[in-house]
Amino acid sequence: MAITVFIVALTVYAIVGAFVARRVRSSADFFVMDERAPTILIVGTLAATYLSAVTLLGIAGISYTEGPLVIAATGSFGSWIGIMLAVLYVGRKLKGLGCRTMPDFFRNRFQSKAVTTLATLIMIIGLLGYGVIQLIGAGLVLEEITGISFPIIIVAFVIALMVFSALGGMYGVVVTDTLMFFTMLAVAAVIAPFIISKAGFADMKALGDSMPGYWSLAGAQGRAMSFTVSQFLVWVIFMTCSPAMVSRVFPAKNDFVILKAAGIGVFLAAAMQIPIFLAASAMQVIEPGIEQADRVMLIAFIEHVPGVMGGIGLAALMAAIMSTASTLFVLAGFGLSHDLYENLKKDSLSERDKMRVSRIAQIVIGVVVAIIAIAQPAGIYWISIYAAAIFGVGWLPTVVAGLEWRRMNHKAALASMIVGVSVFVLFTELTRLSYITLPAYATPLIIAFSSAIVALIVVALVTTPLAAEAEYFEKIRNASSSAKTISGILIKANGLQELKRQYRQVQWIMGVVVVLALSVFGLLAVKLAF
Amino acid sequence: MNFDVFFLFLNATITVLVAVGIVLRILRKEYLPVIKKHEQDGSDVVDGQ
Repeated sequence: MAITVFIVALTVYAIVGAFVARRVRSSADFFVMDERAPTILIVGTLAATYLSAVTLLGIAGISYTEGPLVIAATGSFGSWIGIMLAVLYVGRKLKGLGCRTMPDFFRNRFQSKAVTTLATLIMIIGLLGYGVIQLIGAGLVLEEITGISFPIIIVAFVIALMVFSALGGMYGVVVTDTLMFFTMLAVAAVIAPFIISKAGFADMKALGDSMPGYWSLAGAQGRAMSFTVSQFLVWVIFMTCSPAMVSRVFPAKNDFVILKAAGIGVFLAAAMQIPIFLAASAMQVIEPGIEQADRVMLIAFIEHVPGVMGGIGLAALMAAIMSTASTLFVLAGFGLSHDLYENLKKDSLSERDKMRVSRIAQIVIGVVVAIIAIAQPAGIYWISIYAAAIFGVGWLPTVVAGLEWRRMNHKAALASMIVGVSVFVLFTELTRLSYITLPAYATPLIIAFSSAIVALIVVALVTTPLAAEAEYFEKIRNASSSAKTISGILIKANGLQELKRQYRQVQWIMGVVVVLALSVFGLLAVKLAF
Repeated sequence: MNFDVFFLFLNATITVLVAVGIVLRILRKEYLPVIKKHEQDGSDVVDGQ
């Protein structure tokens, strides 16, 4: 069954991606779907990109061995808040400014090739590091259950990814993400509850007796509170300015779509993750003693649910890998073509050349990814350690200050990014090599993040923004995602009625989201906490 | 009651409530005044033309 699911799922995703690619006619289609995406596609791509192989493999494994609260109640909580900030604060502001990619903001705000190049390099290294390591991890697991050799799995994945990223760009990625989202939703809404009901809430709660601490924040291994706090902070900082999350907003049709996607997306992030972690814990009742804990959900799909459900579960695992990887790789390709090549080239490119360069960049990224994943050089593990944190320490202070502080300028941006990344690498390596021991709460991430903020403030206070920077800051103050949407609707016949209809629709959807959240989380709390 | 388990679901619920609260606040601050102003100014047909 595993081989059939692997082949069918890859083929379906690639065919859909190729079909969608036929609708891509301009660079606006390629980069931001010509800003036509409705709510379902933005919610789909947001949720699918958020749920990665880490959820179904790594964190599910920790939930199985240590308990479901260790990551879910802290790290995941931080990432839910991060998604909210990424969509409603950073993404919405950048969309209002007309950015197609996140480095567009750096280019326009700081008017400096050095800042844009550094920001883009940080993005490409971070995205590739995070994406490739997921592809390697998932490829190794799939090699074991399908019997297909690892290089063939990686090449098959990369070819399928290139079909919808090189041909379809953001259009292909958003549509295939949404298709994949439904398979992942099936796991959260049907398969995980099936596994949980098989174990029973009573027996799951009794795990706390045989494994003390299983239903606590510290978990069965008694993790320190500093771990809990640092997990929360890492994920808030990472998600808030992760290009994978922020850029999901750019293809949105209008501001109402962003608002609806924010409410629904935050609910789905929690409502899709928690059942998976609980199902992994239920497996501790159904089949204790699994040694390779990160395979717990795979074992559940193959051995403990009916065949069809198992097939959907495996397809969902592949969807989790591909949807996250496709977003990371398509953004890395955009960085290479739009943000590096076009930024450094003196002459502007024609529309046709923009598309050609972007597609070549996607192919280059695909080939590089395949080579790195198959070769698995030692350095990729080193890079992956920094990949998640690099946006937080390198980008977040600059992005927030760029949006909010008049004195913020290109020199402060350069100082903050260089200091943030350098301090993070330095302290992580010194700690790893045991040259220093840091106090419990002073993690390298917190030290680097604080250093980046201090560097930014000091340099901004002793330097002066350029006239162009000050001018763009005024544009930021006046730009509004809602104003663009309002004027776009009011210009139509019956514009006011349409505006009121959309206003009431968002209110109504938010009401439904609240009722669903109270019902789902309330029911689970009653079953497991009391 | 197991407070740690309750904490997980409380976190999830609060995050959703905060996100919804921010969305509703944006609607009230950025959209409602425009709707009210256009309702007072006259029919939307005029706006549309």
